[in-house]
Amino acid sequence: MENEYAVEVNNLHKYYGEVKAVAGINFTVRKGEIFSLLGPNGAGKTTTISMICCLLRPTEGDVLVMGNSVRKDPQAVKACLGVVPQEIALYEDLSARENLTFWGKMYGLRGVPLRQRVDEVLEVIGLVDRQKGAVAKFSGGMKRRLNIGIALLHKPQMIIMDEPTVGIDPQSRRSILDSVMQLNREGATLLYTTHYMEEAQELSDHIAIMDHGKLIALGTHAELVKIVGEMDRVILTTNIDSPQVIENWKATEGVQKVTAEDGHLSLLVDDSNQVLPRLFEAAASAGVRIASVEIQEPNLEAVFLHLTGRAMRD
Amino acid sequence: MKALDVAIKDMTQSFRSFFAVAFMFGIPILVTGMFYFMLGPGSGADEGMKLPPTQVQIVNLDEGSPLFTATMGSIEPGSSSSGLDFSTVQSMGEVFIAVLGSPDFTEIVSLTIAEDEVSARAAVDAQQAGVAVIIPADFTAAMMEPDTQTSITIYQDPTLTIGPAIVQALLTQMVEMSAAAKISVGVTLEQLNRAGIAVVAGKEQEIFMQYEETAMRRETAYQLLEVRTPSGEVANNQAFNPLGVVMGAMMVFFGFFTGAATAESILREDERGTLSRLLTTPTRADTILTGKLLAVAATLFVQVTFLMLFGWLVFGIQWGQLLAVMLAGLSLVILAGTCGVFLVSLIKNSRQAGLIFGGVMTVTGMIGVMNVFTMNAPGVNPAVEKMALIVPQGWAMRCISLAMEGAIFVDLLPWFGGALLWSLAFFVVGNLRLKRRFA
Repeated sequence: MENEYAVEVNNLHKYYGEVKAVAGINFTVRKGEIFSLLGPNGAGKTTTISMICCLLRPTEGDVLVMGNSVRKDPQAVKACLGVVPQEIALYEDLSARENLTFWGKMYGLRGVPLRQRVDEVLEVIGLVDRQKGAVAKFSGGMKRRLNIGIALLHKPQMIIMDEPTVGIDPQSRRSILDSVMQLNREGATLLYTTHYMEEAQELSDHIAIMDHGKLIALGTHAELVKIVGEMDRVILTTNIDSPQVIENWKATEGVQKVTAEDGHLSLLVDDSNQVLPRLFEAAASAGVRIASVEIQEPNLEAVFLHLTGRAMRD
Repeated sequence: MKALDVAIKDMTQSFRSFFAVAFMFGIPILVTGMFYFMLGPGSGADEGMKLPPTQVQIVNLDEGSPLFTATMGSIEPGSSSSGLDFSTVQSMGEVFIAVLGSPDFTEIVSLTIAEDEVSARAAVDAQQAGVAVIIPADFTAAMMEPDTQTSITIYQDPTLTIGPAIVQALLTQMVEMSAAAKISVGVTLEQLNRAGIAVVAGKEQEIFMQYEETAMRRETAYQLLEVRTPSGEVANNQAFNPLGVVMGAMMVFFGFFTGAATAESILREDERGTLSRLLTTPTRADTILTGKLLAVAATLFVQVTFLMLFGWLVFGIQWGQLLAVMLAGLSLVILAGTCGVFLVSLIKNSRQAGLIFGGVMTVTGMIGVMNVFTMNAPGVNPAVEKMALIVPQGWAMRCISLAMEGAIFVDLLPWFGGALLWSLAFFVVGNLRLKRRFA
């Protein structure tokens, strides 16, 4: 019977001396799905990805990619993978075509099949007209597209994208997200890391949330949101955020949790429509002036806040 | 195959870099070109470095002697094997003038007969001549008669060195030959007297002149010397080749920079993330490193071959016998390549590389090609030659210099062996460190 999993991560550890970069994580990625690893910077996402790509050797545990062990058969693992690194990794003094041709050779393509595949990928990433131009003269978005194109050359069964949208303009980000979904529709399995919860929310079939080298939550978007229940999140900006005021609002009916962060107060409430008038009432009686109000329906940020007590951006 | 792909990619990048090409080809050719125009066309060929002929004012005050005149008169015109006609000369001074003014020395001495000693000295003082030679009145008598002493005066421009030294050497040789003839004839006559054999009057002068004339045959003297190389071959003593030394030194100096800069691509790829990305492809780290080393060797090979061909075709530099030149070129390629790999293995990042290459490579390069500063001049402290061998550049330079001096393949083997040992040490340490770090 064919294995239904593209990736199986089993008890994976990576230590750097006393520092536990990854501390015993387990998850599986089903074939044909988009799986997102979500977490703040330094959560251990890139270390995990590096072990899956065979760039780092696990201190403990193993990963199976399409049934191949990263410990026992790294070359077989690499042959299944197309990796899009976080930083743009291209030869800037070569042209787009020369880059694709070189990387294609590194993936074992030669001759006519290589030329055909380079033509196809140039078409997919929209660089046919600029194929002979030096990459150094490309815009950031064009480089990003080429960076992704390289990972598609050998039609990999599994594509790993490590924060591919970091530091790019909204238009290029949209283009990348669309291409990820297109690749998935064409049958590719994708493992995607990001610290943008909206991306994970939009793209993923399954999401794993990492923090401090550990997996703190795993499931579909709906399953994760259920962790915090159906509560809304109300973010208030006030002129006073003294402990007394916070205690008063905690005591307000319908308010489940209050945390202060960056000059704002974040409240988890049962139903924002019913609770908001009470909050304004309590503020008025305490002499607190509310400068702004933001209401968020349950999302991954709320999940992270609920699980760690701090916002993702912290 | 993938190693070759990596090598070709690296070479493409190298040859597209303006700075790399300038360092590899532009600067060595430019520096040699400057010397070419300073020294003049032809200075790289086997004609050697030409000095202008030294202007010599000669005053012959020699009054000769009747005996000498009688002796010379007995010589048949055209019988001299040296090609000079001595039948009409009246004194030894005239013989000296005839020899110095002969076609053999026209390239090094330009002779003018001065009227008197004062005008000859005045010509030197006015720097119209480099040397004034004054042959005294009793010179012939002193040469022919026993127990008579005299001396030729050389008056020279104090700002000149080589020209006057050449004139002095020529005169010394002639005077020594005459003195030797005088001693030989004296000893011979004494032996004959002791044996009771009478010598016809005036015959001794004839013997003297015959001895002198025979001694002047250059080919006779040279037949007593044969210079051989350590392998037993007759040495092909090519003339000093200043352009060859300059271009050879430039090739060594910048060749080592090329080796290091090409090997540095490992660091640059590491910093730009392409090395990590390469390691996510089904390509072994060993293969990538092999490709990098191939690129270093191939780039150096192209550089050395191009510069040698360019030097030969454009500047007329004679690099030596083909096999010896190939071995010398190979020694440079392996030394510069492995030295680059070794240095890069010690460096953390490309910023450090700039400092290390700028400092270490410049200093060791200068030590290694020190002979370009001394230009093989005689009298240079031998320690200078030995000191160059404390750095790898010195070994590469020695191989190239020997090839240019006419050494054959076998002569170069010990030096190539030394270069090979350096290279082996560099490669083992460098490769081990790079593998530990990146593989």
